Amino acid sequence: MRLVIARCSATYEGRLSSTLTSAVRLLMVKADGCVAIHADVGAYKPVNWMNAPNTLREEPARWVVTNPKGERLVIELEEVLEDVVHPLDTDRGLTLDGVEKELQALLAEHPHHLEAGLACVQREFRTDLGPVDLLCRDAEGRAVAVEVKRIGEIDGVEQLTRYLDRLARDPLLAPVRGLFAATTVKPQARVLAASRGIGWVEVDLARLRGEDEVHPRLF
Amino acid sequence: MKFRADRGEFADAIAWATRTVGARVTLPALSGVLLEAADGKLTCRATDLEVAAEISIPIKIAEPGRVLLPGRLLAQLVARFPQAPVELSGEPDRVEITCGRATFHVRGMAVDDFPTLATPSEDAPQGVVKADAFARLVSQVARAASSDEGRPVLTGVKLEAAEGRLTAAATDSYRLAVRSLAWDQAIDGEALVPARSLQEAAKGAAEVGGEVTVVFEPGQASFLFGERRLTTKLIEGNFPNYEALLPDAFETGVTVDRAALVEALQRVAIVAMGQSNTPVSLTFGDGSIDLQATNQEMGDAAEALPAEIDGEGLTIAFNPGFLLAGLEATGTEGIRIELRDGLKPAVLRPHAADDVVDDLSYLLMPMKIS
Repeated sequence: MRLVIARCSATYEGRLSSTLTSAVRLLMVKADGCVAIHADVGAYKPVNWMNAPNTLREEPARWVVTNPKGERLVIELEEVLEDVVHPLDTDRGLTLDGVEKELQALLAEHPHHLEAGLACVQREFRTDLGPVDLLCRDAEGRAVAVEVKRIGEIDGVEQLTRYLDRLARDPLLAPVRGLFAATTVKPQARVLAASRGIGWVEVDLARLRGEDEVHPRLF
Repeated sequence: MKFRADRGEFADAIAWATRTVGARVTLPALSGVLLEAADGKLTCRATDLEVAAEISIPIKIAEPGRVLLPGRLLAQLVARFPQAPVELSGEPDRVEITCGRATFHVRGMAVDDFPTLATPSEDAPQGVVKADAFARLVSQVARAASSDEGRPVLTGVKLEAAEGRLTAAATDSYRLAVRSLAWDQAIDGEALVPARSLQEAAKGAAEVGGEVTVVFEPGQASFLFGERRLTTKLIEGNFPNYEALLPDAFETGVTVDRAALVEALQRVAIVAMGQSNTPVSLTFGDGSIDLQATNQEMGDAAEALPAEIDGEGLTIAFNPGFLLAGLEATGTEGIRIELRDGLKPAVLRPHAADDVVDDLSYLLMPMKIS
């Protein structure tokens, strides 16, 4: 992993063309060849990036990144403030956790993928047994607690059952309905959820990711 | 402790303290309301360690003292009390509450477990602003804040005090609302205040009327109005540089009757807000706005309404919920929409033919349509 903090501008040509004006940014070159330009906002999302495979040609005060698809990213380096390289470990656990976090964030933004008319009130809603992933209100205004997993198994249903038990004691929320969401819900988890009156829903990560492209952000 | 209070004032005080702090408590003592009877008044305090609420009402004291009573229970009781004076008496662990012919015995909690509330220091500069103007500013801006705790900075409202004005800004990254107003007594400073706390402060200020005193200190902000005070912890982190997002020019300017646009949008949005969050597209041109929404699962809807349009015609699509929130925020008879093209953010502003309007800017990122 190579991290460069530099005052730079960039132009990208490919599926569309875009320009970044001069500013101090973080340039990230990953071991697999991905190149990303990050600003100090926008969570995980770079302001510009090129997925591997890429060819990075370093010229004086300029990087030219090209790929076989004919995309081209040119970064003009005006002032390099930091330039460090560290090898990172490949951590499969973290990758999985990342998918779950992403699912949670996307479902918070687009809760209608879970149920028509559902609106997210809060992410990571506190209970005294830990935070429930999403607290929502359904079309009739009733509280719905949503637990999000990458793969939905019975321990996730157990976890949601415990949260529901705590949330039901809150007269401002009660009655609280449970909804178990995952990209795949295992048959045992479906049976357990149904036996406890908890709904389950399988969500399509690719469709959810598509939502973000439909609604661009200001920053 | 023994005192007698007016039922209405007592119920309002308990309701305000418990509502302001909310129900998310981590320690048993935090579910309580601390009642302190001293110097002819009753002071009620509640906190969840993020927000602290304090309110005083005049009472007749027979014996001063302090008790910590379960907030929710107390609020539910007093809300149903008959119209008669409320009397509280007893020791901290067993309090008798009577109202009319009803008597309750409530087990109190250990007073010492209740944390000391954050209070503004006396020498901190105090800004003063009219309560109704403050409440209006907050209601216009805070709606653009995010509810996503995953990005805490966006759940706040940025307050900046400089050059005699108070500016408030909030954004959830899809839209941005900014407005300022003049202080009656100016201060300088800034604070990133949780939107929920600020909305409670504004709601309280609107109820009480008069003036709001604002105090910014490192790590906390306080809002004082009437006999009430709300002190909230600030959100740490850098708020986005929103000024850079505000466009300084536009290609197409639209002036339209707000109520007519809201009604048309609400009708068309019924189709858009169904199964998936479908955009509503607006085509500006030839003195009219054509609204359109298509939902593959439900059907489609279209409506046109007259508007004054300067500049090139264009089509742009929005999340109908975000657009409605912006239209509602302006509060004026007319609305001004400034556009550059179908993919760049639009700016909504209040508009009134011959009246001064708020300097509200509601910036909204369009959605992509195929």
